[in-house]
Amino acid sequence: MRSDNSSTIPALPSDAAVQADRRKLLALLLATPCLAKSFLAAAAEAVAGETTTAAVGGKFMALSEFATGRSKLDPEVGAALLAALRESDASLSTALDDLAADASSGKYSDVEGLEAAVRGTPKHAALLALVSAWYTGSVPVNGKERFITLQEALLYQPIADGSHIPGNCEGATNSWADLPLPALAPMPTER
Amino acid sequence: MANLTSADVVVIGSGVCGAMVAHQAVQAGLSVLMLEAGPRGERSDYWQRFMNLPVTNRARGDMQSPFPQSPYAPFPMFGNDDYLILKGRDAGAFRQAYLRAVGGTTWHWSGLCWRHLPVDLRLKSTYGVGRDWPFPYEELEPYYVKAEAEMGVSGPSNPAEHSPAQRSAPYVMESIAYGWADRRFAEVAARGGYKCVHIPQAKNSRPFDGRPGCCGSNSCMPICPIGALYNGMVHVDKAIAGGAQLIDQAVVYRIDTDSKNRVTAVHYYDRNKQSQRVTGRAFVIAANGIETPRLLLYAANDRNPRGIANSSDQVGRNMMDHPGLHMGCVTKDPMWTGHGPVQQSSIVDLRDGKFRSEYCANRIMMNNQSMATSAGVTAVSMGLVGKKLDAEIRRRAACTLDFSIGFEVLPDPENRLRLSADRKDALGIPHPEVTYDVGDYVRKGADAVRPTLLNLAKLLDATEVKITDSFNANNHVMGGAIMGRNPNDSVVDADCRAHDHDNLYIAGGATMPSASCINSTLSMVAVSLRMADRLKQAMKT
Repeated sequence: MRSDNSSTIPALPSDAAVQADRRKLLALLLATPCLAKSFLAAAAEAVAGETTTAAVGGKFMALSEFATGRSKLDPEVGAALLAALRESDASLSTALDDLAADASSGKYSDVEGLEAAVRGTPKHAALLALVSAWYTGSVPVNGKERFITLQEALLYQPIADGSHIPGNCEGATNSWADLPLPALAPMPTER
Repeated sequence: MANLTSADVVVIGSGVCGAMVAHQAVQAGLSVLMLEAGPRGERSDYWQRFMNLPVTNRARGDMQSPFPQSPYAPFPMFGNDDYLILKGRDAGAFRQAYLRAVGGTTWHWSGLCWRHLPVDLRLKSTYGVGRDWPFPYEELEPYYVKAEAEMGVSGPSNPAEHSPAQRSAPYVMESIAYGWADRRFAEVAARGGYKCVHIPQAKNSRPFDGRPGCCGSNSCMPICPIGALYNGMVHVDKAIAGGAQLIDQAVVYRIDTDSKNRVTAVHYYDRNKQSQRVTGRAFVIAANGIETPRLLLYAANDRNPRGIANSSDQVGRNMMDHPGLHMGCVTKDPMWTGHGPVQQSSIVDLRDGKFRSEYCANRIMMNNQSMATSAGVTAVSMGLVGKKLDAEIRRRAACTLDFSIGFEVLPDPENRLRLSADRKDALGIPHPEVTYDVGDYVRKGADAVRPTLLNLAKLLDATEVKITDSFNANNHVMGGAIMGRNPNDSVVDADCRAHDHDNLYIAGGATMPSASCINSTLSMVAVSLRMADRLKQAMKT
């Protein structure tokens, strides 16, 4: 029984617009990758205004795949990140276009080569900003971090065999007691 | 059953201590009204807010942002907080992260449930420092048992791991199993002659009291997603189920007293900033170690010009926490913290010893919090890309360790909370202002523990060893309304009843006369349960 005088505080816009009880929440936890999608679609629209997934086009995603070494990046995340990057620094658009041209030129076999080549130019800061956005799932806008995604943040991928995102349940009680200890190498394969 | 304007017992604050007292009172057939300054929120909302925090906030340990504030009940915010004003030599060691919300700060606690040692209650008579409690450990022990049962404390069945050894009942549940990192740390510590023990904690190692077993989210702080970790809401809801009334967003600001200096009523601002009055036979203030003295001081009236319960001038004095240091290092072999609860094992060999006449006790804990997020943020900030970036994230996430060392601070009347002279909240109530110095007793203790820490790092074959050089807070606020026999140097008596007002009780850490070096919540709850028994007895007469 709850007092009539108690109130429920408003939730932030989030992955799931639900008021879940424990059972619902457990189901929610098991379904987090799906939740990320619905939030991202909303976030992309809200943040980017007219920037839609389609409008982002292949150029930004191709650059992103080259810069991160991943082949399965989510275009909805890409749309939201690009919108935030543009808002964070208007000059990034040009630098990212230039980087996209460099990446597709065939001159560089990987991002390490591109990074070395653009050091000391405005493209270098743009490249690091792009990598940071994909790895952290957030972009600093006007001095404050703008959250885009957690579940798709790439920083959790290189450790997926030895760790999980805090906040997500790992498993049944004590299931972690006898897990094998992964070595530092090799890396887990891309999801 | 209480109504919304009067009750047998009016409890101010709905954190774990207030909720426990409210529950005890309704079980005894008393009508109870709880007034909580903060809002009532839902676990799912808090969890969603946590999952939508930027990773940079996560990496820096932001525990506050998932919990929204009521406009009239501010609490310290993460980052550039301007609510809790801090001054003094070790101001930074009192940067607290408490909540004002229904259920209180146990929304984001680690759940560690240590007991004080028997000697912690007679520090002055044993070591000539600090203060003695007005009753011995033996009198508190049954309430420790009761507190562990109410909260559902899991702990080791092996008596060799009990700290203290003096227990009259086993833990409610066996400990949650170690993950890789704690297992490895315990092995390494043993090689060095250090005894590492499972920390007793209010987390379910099996379904208990209608709540599930721990799912290893490794997010106890700031939010357990499934309620396997006990929090004050459990007893808020039990009290309400027993007939208690709860009014949230009710900021108490005035306390009326009669010619015998008994409390007759309290006044609060409701969520619409309208003043309301509540009467009762007895009143319990359980509003956190900072908000309790703040209220007592602000509620000064003609009969009590220095503040309620403050004829001794001790309200707001003797503020305590566990000053902390951290040691970070990178191990040669992977440790992979982050499996299971956030804190699992500790070395407690130095909780006591003759040295305590010279310097303080300590507890060394390996943090089992996942290093994944901070590893990623750090590696990205290094400007790495490609395979080097992934490898650095992996190395740091797998091999970084953090040790948290907690120290025992002594009660010092000069460590003092006052009302700010120039800053007020939206209701016009002055902000709390704390002057704090951990003291030489702690500084000497910190110097003494360094060789042990470095030896542990060596045993772990660790590099990049760094021990912080300034003390941090640990959010274990104690003092401010200290307990004692002498009305001239304490605020409440052994029953936690105000010396100045025979129907006013104070629950929680504010009353504790010694801090020990371990987390304080279980002791706060045990003292509150003991207080509740005394309150129930007094209400019969």
